[in-house]
Amino acid sequence: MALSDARHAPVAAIVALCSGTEIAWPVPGAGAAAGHRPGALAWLIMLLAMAPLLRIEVGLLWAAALPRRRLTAVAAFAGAYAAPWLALGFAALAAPAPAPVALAAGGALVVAWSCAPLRQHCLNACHARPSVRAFGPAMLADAGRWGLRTGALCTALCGPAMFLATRLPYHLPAMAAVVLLAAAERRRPPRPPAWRLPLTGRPPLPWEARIISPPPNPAQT
Amino acid sequence: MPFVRKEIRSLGATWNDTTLWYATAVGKLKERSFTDPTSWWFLAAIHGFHPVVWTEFGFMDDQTPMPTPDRLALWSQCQHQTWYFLPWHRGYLYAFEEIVRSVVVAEGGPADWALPYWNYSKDAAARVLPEAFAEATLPDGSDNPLFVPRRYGDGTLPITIPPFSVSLQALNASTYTGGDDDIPPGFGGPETPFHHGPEIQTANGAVESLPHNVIHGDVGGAEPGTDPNQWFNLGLMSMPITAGLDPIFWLHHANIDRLWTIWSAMPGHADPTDGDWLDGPADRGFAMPLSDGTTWQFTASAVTDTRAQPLDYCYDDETPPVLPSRVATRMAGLAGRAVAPAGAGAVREVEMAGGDPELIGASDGEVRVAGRTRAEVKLDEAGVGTLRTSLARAAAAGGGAAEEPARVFLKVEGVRGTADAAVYHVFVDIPPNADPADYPERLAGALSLFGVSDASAAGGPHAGNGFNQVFEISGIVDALHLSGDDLARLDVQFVPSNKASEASNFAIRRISVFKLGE
Ligand SMILES: [Cu+2]
Repeated sequence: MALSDARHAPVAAIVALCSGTEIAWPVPGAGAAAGHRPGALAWLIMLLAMAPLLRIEVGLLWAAALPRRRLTAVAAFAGAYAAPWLALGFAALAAPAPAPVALAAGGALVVAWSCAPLRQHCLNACHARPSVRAFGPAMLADAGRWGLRTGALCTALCGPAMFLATRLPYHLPAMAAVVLLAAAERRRPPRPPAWRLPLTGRPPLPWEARIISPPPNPAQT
Repeated sequence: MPFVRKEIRSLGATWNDTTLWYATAVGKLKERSFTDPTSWWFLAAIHGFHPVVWTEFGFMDDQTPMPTPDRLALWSQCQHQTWYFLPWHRGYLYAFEEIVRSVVVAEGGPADWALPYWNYSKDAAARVLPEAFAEATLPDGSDNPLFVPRRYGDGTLPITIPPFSVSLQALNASTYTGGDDDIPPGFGGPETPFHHGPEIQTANGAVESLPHNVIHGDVGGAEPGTDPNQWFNLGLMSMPITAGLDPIFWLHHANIDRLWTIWSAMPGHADPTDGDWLDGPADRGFAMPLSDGTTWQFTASAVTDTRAQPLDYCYDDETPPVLPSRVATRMAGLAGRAVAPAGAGAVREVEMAGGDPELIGASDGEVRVAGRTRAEVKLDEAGVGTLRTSLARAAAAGGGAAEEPARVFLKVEGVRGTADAAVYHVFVDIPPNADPADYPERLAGALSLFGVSDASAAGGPHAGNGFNQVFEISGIVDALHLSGDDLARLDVQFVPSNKASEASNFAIRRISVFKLGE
């Protein structure tokens, strides 16, 4: 099945997500991207490829849950995690193919974002571990909130690059590269936010890390 | 003939030769510059450093020259809440002792000088801070380099360690490495890389929590009458970033190091044989300066035997204290006997049997502790059901059970705050307004906040997730079960262990109860 009308893209995406069928990107007009047909399936594969990145969170959740509720806890986390990614996926399907100049501008923005201090802040926030209650619906709410928070942070961190990757001629290798970069980045310890190229620099020493939140000045208290 | 580290009080008078030479050498090291890897300042910064804190405490100012980057790489190496805690500190102590000895010899002192240790667990008198560290002057009237004004204890002098803080129950841990999810915590701590962060468990090993962490807070304390939640009111020993600046630090750690030697030699105990520990950590090597200006790179495998080169030292007393066996005491309790039955050593410990820890209860989310605080932990019916069956089976077998019933652990997860000096005692199921002193059998353990500031820094290596502390409560749960308690919930009480801790506060992500074994 193939739909090429941009207005039907979200519907097509849902159908594709359910059926697992490859669909074509809506490509209004004939442009540079006309020969490339990235689809919802690619997005779904990407999402599954990202799943191993969550093994730490899933492991923590597993150990922190009552044995009979472990699967439920992980399901609540995973479902909530996928939500922001799926939303971005639908947006990617619905968006028209960009002009080369827009593609270049988007590329510049993605590079700037990947070096931004605010982005390091988000990376640090990824490591935060919330309290997950063990009993009743509170467990589902806590696990879901943690998943949603992690998914939203990941979407903010890698979504722009992923979105751009879908617009490139070789979108599958490009998306795979983004997943690999995300994997390498996620394992790095938190560090003080600053402008820097991704994956560069040594991790901070403990005292350097503390300086980002300097102790209050005794003179002011 | 190895160098012999001796108990400080066994050396005789307050100003015996060994102690006086130590004071002289510390004075000389303090004269050396920050940029000299063998200076007092550099050696302390290897454990931890913070320019704002060191400046406020008067150890440096903006004019102080800083070491070159390759030397700065040696700073802030200290290993806490990890299975490297013991080997890293052993190498650290060796380098320090080697440098101090070189100064002692240069000043005309004995060539066999060795670092003394402070055995606070010996008897009641030993719990008092060794006198040489509390006197303002040396016998000749000059300033005493061993005296530190920023050492507050609980606010009363002489500084005296409370009895429970010197407990040697850690020696009863049967494994070195912590189990899955820190259950049990192990003698030496959990398996981690050098920088172990948010994703990886960061729990205190048994000897690291008690006596190590607790003594840090008991000695350092906070200035009486000030807010113990503010770093600038704390004693040097209370924080990892300043602890090495107090000369008593080294005698405390020599004793912790001695406890490791003792533990390793006890029957059934063994250091890890895992290559990750022996040759690790892979992500950043351990490195120490030596007196000849070289840097000594080492791994845990180089320090497992203190009598081997290069360490070449031993302690004057390496005999294990007589401790009642944990399993035997427990089995006797379950069988309703006070004394351990003969042949109790044959009981197979749950730890050895393996298995995954299972969650059987938890607090309703976050818990905030400020002074004496109660927290309710709800237990899960299904988990408690299997536990009760296990306990009943052991009780029914009298003293004859071949296998230990399930063990129960209280895990205080994600401890965050800024009151590094605080020490709380954790009690289970005591009446709300009771005097905790009347319920020693309900004391689960001591929670020291040593290092909590570092563990709570959002951009720091722990990502602000804090650390975990695990207490075994099998004996308490056994007693509750035998008394007919339905085990629907546990009432956990945090009781400040001294006056200085009363105004402190901290947050806990969750209090969990785990069951190990069937
Ligand atoms: Cu220490």
